[in-house]
Amino acid sequence: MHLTKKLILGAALILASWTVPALAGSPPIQLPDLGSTQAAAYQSTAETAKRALADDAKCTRCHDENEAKPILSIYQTPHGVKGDARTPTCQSCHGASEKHLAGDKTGKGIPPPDVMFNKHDYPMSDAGDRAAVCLTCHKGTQRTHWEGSAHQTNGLACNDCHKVHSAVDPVRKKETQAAVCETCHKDRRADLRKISHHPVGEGQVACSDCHNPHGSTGPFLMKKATVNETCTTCHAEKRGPFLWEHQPVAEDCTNCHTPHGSNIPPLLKSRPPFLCAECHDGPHNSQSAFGAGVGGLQSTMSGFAPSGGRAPSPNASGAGRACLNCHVMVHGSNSPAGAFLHR
Amino acid sequence: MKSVNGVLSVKSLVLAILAVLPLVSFAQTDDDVLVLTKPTNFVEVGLGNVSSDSYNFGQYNGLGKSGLFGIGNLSVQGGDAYGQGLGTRLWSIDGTNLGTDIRAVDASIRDQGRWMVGLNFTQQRHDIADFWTPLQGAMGGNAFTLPEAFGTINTARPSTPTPYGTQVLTPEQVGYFHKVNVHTNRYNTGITFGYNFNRQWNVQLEWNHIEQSGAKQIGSGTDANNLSAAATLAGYAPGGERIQMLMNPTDYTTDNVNVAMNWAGVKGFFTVGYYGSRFVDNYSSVSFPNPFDTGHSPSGSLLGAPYPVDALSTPPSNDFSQFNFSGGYNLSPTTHLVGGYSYGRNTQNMGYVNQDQMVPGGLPVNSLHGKVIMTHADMKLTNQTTRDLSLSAGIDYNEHDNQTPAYTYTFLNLGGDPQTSFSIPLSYKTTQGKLGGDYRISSNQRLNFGYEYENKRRWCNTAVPIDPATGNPVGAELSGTNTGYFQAVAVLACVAVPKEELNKFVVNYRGDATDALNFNVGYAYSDRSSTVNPAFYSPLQANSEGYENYNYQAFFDGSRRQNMAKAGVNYQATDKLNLSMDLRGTKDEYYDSIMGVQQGESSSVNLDLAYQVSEKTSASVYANWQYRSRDMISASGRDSVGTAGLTGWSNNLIDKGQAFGFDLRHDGLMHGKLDLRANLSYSLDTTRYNTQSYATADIPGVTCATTPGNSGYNCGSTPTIRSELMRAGVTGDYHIDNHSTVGVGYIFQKLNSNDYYYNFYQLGFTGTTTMPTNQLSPSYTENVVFVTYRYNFM
Repeated sequence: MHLTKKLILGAALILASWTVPALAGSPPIQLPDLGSTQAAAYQSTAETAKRALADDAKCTRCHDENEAKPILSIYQTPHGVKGDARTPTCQSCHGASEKHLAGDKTGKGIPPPDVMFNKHDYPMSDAGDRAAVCLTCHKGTQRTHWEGSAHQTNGLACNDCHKVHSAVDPVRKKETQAAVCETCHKDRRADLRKISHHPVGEGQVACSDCHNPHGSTGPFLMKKATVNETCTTCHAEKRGPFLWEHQPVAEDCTNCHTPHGSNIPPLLKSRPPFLCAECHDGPHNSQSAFGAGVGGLQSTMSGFAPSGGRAPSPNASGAGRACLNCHVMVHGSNSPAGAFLHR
Repeated sequence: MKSVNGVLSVKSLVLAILAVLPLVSFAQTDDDVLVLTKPTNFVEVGLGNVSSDSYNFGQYNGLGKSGLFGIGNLSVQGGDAYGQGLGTRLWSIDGTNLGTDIRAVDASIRDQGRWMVGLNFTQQRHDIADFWTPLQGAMGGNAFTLPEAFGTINTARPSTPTPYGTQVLTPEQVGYFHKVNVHTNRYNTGITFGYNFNRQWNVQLEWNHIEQSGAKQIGSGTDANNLSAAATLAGYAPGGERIQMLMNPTDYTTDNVNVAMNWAGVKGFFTVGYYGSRFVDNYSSVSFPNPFDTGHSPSGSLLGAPYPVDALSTPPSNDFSQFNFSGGYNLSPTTHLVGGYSYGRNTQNMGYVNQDQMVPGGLPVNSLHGKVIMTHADMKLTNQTTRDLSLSAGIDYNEHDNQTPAYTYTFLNLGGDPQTSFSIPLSYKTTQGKLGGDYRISSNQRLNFGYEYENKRRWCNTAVPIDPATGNPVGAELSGTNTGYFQAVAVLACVAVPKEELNKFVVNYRGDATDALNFNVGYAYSDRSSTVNPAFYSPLQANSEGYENYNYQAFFDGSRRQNMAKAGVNYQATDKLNLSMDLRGTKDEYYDSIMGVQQGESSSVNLDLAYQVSEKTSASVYANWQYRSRDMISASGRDSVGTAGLTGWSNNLIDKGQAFGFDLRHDGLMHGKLDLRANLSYSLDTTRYNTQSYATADIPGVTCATTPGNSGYNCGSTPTIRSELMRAGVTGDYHIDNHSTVGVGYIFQKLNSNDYYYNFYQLGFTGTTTMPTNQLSPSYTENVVFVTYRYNFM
């Protein structure tokens, strides 16, 4: 509590100093005015569309269907629905670009548009300027925590992942999203191809089912505030509360699981009994040293043979499912006889 | 039954769409503008063939069975907004994988800027295992029996080296084994709705209903004969640990609803929302027979004929309701404040599984009345101090307050011994403070830095009751040999680590050496300091076999120092050729853990090459290498006072992965009619453990068994767990004309899996008290061919 007060006080001091007008800001972007009256919002749809298309024509008379990179396919996207009064025109995002529109007046070539989202004939605009354009309209909800988020501070802008002009934005399709994320998250590309994995490559789970790439308050850009809240969105049977809890499970699923992929099914960081022994060394067989013997009788390294006049019997506490042969309720038990997670 | 209806309804929907399509007249145009501005619709049908059965190949793709499968995909869109139209209406219907068990259908209609309605349905099948069992009862059900003639299994160890127990079942018993494909099916139906009241206000609703059927594999420790007084009194004769694999039913229904009211203005925005989730398990237990109980004749027993019936609980039905508030306000053009608060309530009150024989003393309550209050609050202030410098400061708070009432439960454990444990609902909260900054040193250099402080507290709302007869915690065996662990009852804690503090520093640098060459380096350091309470009590530790040795620390809450370094470089060698390399390494040290996990390391390297030969031809190659290790020391022995009676051992884990792949695209062959794609990927992952004797001045090392024995060698390396996967595919699309495309493809996929896990469950090789499953490592070689016809139209 003492710490909380200190942090709030510190934040307040920073806030007081920062409310001084900025020394410099981003260039002004002309986007539809969200604060205008409702009457303007619902003028005739056709009239709105005609006016917007006329505005677009300033650009599309040159940037037409012959562009190597299809520009006009934006009309297949929500940004191309011109009857929606909120829909931006070309200049809403790329800036008024008056010098660009004026053409080559100096003989040094046509100046670039105010905001360039990709590096082609002109340098790409700063990530902050590119993102600011999108955030003018796409504010709040999922973008609430964009500023200061991992992707923002690593120099990414919206269009580094989103293809705004494409009829189909790959990052918004479950089947193709992972390939976009794997462009940077290359270890995850390998993890997702391991023998135990979430069905991301199969197009049934998307990265964004668990993560909010626009920023979040949770760890690792989790969609929810905690790892467990995120996991139990789908795995609600693990949510409990249980009569008999297992502490690492109740706190954080990733204590034992590595969600992107593992060589140890099901998505385990390690295999019992070794995984269990990382926390337990007292209860009966979790104190035992297990080595080559857990390989079972068929293992050439285990060396099992009759001993003491009795046939061999591999130790069920170490082989196969090991501890989980009996302690089956590792996620928690609701049985009155389940204190040891047997039932 | 509902699942079957769900499938039929999807098929009906698809058939209806296909039936209508020929009646619709679509304008055919070569207008280049229209091609760009109007969506191209398609319907694709085809057939494929899988060469052989493999649950692992079909784990998630619906192709686990050999033979023909259907291919059906479609995407149909329309509305007056397309093609630079003047309207705002859009609609779409998409279907994927309609011929398999992982089909999906999405449909939506919207008047953009005003409202939208969406419907979706997905079916997911998860093939988990093929295993053999003598149990009778449907996969997905919760009651299993054995054939009456199966007989009991004598697990007594004979004095001769003859195999015994489940290692040698009679031919009649083996005859009852049959293969079961364990899998689950999820049918997920969703509705989304959005309505814009005006430019500032809108409401969004999402609801989805998930029905899950099938089962997952689960173990079960069951009981042999035991004639302890308590067990006999209870009419129960358990004893020992006897193991069977079961099909744990997943007959679940989950409903999630998310409603949010959003407002956005020029200077601020906020959202008020509700998230509700109801999970219903249609079973509360799984019952199964116990063929190991030699104390009962096959003709009947006290607990049911012909075998004693045992039971496991299943996940309890539960509810979660959460109210969410979040918003932001621009204090100035460059200073923004965002924050949020949520209040959630997680409840569970499913009746306890009826298992009177295991709780002969009766129950204190018949259900849990479980309640957890989850509170979250956050606030973040960001400021673009100058164009080159941005700063942020934030605070997060999360609390998991478990208000479930606690009681003392008495029961019989697997050995038939009476036990008493006190349930201890765990609560915890974390408070985080974060400071961050991003500074543009020059037009091509940036420095990012941050500091994070985290404070974590754990507690229990209910004090552990004290047994007046002993003065010790109820159920705890504080005998002379282990009083050293429970040092002081007065400060008894329900957690080993009631307090953690973490400090973390991060710095990253990005720079462009040239227009073509950019790189980044980063470093992070964190130190988690844990306060250990030696007077730790938990239900697992309430009995003589349930404590951790003194000075043993669990890895997830022990003090830890962590270093992470990373570097990356990207080189655009030419307009066509791009090369990149990324390196990353971590080192964790658990510096206060005298025993337990001592350290861990990881490192990885990624190499990528992309070559754009021409507009029609491109190729990319990648390679990945990963390494991870973990070192742990532990001790055998049950005397927890200091180190007396302990023998030490160490264990090392090494996990490695290598992967590479390439993709090749070549379009426009055969006068522009043929597009080709080819890809190849290969990965090899290995895991192995090594255990050795470990001695200190206080603890002698464990004696490694170097002679054959009951448990085999307890030291040395396990056989390497090895997964080698190769996948190659080639597809070709031949465009007959603007509307018709024929596709053909071939996929080769091969898995070499060598996992010692399965050795233990082979008939003749199990432990003598373990029912075999005859599961094998899931190696496979699959050849898949397919041919499709796609009709494109506008």
